[in-house]
Amino acid sequence: MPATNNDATFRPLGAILGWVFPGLGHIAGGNAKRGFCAMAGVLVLFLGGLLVGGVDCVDRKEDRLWFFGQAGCGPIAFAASYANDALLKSGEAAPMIEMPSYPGQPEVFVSSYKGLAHANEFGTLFVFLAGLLNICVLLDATVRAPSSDAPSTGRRAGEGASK
Amino acid sequence: MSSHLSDLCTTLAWAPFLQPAPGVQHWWWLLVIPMALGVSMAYKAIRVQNLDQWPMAVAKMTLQIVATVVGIAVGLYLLVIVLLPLLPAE
Repeated sequence: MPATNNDATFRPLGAILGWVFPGLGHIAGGNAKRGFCAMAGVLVLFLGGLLVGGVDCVDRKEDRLWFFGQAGCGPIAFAASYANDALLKSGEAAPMIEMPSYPGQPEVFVSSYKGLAHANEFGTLFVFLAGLLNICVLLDATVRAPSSDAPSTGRRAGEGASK
Repeated sequence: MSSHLSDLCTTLAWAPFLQPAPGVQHWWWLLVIPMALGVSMAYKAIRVQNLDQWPMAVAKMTLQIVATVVGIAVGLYLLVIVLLPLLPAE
């Protein structure tokens, strides 16, 4: 029977580290392989979302409700939103174009790199899912026993069997 | 020919992570595959007991999600395009 570690106490540090960067809570708790697997999953969604929709799909001002979920990814979500402000909304990365506005209303300019329709929808959804899944991952890091993925020292099936 | 050239130029001029990916407007439905893969990778990382089973569990869950979405799409197609027109107009 493999050795198991039932030391499943609550560890808030795992949640904090897991929020700082996806999978870091598990890695710090001695479950490095599990942490890297979780990190890979969250980053596939996060980077996939940015690749599909551009940084415009993370916007803590215009898409505030989506951002509540996206913020589960941690500082990388805030960095993406900052990049959106600094590169796209400022006109630094691409020229701004004037949008049609109602008579009497102020002129509205948006970046020519702004995401629209399916690209923006899927990019936003990908990053949102990354945030929600990272919350699941960091909650798991708070209750998972440290070094519980360490290889068992017991005999494996077939080992030591007489021929 | 000019359409293909235009698509090629759009792709070559793409600034990844700044601009939306070119072609997504036409092939958006294929994005269910990377979405299912990412969800499966993160979920199974905290779900499987033995991480040696992780790649197989991810592949299985990805296929299950994609198959379910395809099944729902086929079901809705049959309902809207085939069954509903058979109903009497009134």
